[in-house]
Amino acid sequence: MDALRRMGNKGVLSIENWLNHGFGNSLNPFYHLGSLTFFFFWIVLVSGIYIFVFFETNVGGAFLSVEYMTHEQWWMAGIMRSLHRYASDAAVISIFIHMIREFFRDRYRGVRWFSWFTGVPTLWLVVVLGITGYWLVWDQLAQYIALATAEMVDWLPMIPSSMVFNFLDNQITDRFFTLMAFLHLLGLPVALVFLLWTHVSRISQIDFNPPRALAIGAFLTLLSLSLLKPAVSHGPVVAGHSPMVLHLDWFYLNIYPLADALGPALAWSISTGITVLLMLLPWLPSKKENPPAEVNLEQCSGCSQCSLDCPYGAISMQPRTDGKKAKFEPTVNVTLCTACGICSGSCVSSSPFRMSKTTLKSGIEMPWFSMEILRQEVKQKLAGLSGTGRTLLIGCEHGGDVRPFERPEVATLVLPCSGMLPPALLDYALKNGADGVFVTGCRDGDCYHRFGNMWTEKRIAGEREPNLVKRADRRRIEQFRVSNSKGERSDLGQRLEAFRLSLQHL
Amino acid sequence: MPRSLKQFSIQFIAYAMFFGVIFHLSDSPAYHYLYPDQAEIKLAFKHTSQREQECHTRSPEELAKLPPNMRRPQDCPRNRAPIAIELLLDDRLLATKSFIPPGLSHDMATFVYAKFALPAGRHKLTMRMRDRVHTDTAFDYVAETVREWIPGQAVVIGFSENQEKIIFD
Repeated sequence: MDALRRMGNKGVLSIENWLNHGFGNSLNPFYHLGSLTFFFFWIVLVSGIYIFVFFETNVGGAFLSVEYMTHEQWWMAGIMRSLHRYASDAAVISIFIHMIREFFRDRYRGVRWFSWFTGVPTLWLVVVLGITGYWLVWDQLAQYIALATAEMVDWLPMIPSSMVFNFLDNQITDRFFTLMAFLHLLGLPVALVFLLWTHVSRISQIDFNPPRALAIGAFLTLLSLSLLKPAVSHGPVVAGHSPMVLHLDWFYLNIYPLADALGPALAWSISTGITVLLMLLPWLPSKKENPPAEVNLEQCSGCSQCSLDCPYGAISMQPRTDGKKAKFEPTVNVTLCTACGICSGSCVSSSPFRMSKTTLKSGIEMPWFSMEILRQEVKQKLAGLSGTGRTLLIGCEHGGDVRPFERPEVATLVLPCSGMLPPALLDYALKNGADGVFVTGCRDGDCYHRFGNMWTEKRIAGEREPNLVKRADRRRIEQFRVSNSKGERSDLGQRLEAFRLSLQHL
Repeated sequence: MPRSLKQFSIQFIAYAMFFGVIFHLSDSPAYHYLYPDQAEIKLAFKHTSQREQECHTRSPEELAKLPPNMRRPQDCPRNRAPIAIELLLDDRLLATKSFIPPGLSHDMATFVYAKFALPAGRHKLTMRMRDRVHTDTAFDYVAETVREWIPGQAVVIGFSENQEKIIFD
């Protein structure tokens, strides 16, 4: 599994690198797949509301009303219908890539299992929602879908009677059609909203909207598709005839040819098997994670910054229990904590200058990588530096690997996430033997722990607490974020050398 | 906005791929449910097959051994026979199918449903059905029809419980 993930990750990183060259990190579509999916759902919702105005929810009128929209009012309802279809297809694409990407980037295991686990049924619900949409057109494709669905449902042992008999000879009733309309227009969308809410409930500060430029680009693509290839129906249902050639939407209807070819038993087995396997993936094998963050109340000022910075919503502020003046204290939800260390970097008490003669304790820190351990490691690394352009190179576990750059003039330090870096540590390093500090981490816009590199950048720029002190010489601090691909590591090496050279002229 | 030709080209290719994948997979490749020279038969009916074993009339001695509230004169095993069907096209075997009655004791009415493609044109279609346990290979019901099958035509074959016969629609 590890080998597969590593290989896939390489592929994903190269595609993303290519996209970064075209879109820039801030607009890379692969970094906004979740919000793009929400955007596609918005298009589906708005276009769906519009076409519902003209849609007749009965067997006799459904097909004719859709035909009216497609051919008579093509300039608005027709385009809306096409947007409705193509945005739904786009949502499947973005969900699919999102899933593959999270798998290859190893962001689906450990504490993150919940989002993955709830995401799989969400995909199924989207597919069922799409199928009911095709059903509502009540053309020959809908007739085929209805019968094929009934054949699959009939195979299930818990259904005592036969559903398929309802669809032979076009015997469908308005009542059943109303049920389908209810499912597509209200029941399933409400269930989808609930599942999506569950899916994202364990992460904080969710960006539901993609960047405007990306949203405009995606919308214009769908609009041009709608104009160039308007969505059309199959022919009307003819009693006593079966459809012969079907133009299936393969994003949604791929299970039916599978069921025709293999029978419902195998089709159910394959789809259920894949679903169960996907849902169990976070435990095949499970991820070993470091112990969660611990709060040291005697050092905590109750400022809430750790709670604001946590990307997983694992820290909540509760009423103070130690009688101190501050109103609140942080509480860590261990089931949500990924031990990324970002909270430790955000704590104002995480300054290596403090308590220099005793053991350093921070208000919140990783028990396995406390501020004291970090200070000792940095101290030791700085003591070993020699030569010119002495640099402390700080990296993270998920970005470009800094360890190969270790040599007498360059000391390296690997943090679980670059967001764990307290800004005061940069000043500390400069004052204790380093001529410069080079900070790297995951690619901009693609932090493994969501916000680590962004918070660090803002802290150094003085835009987010805790700020790097003004007196720290910014010319001696460099930031350059890369992935661990070979090409980007080489870029990192070149930037590092250029930085070291610049230090010699200061 | 793209600021260089390289950026523009990459964005154009990315959007074109997005466009192309939806353009293609939203309705193609076409799926041939039936080929142009094919029609379809659907067997679809509900039928309660005969019991696998005949009812046995209990003797007075057997009845006496039972508790008073269970002294029914006949002992009828619940299991019913599977329904076996054969379809012949122009006297050649087209398909055979067997349906086991549902229920824990296989004693409920069977929903018979199956579909078969057949070549269009003028053909004789024969259906034979067995709904009880036989010692030979005889069929209990046989029906046939000779007709012109139009491409795409779907004919439903049913069974009338009242008339106890196979019906071609």
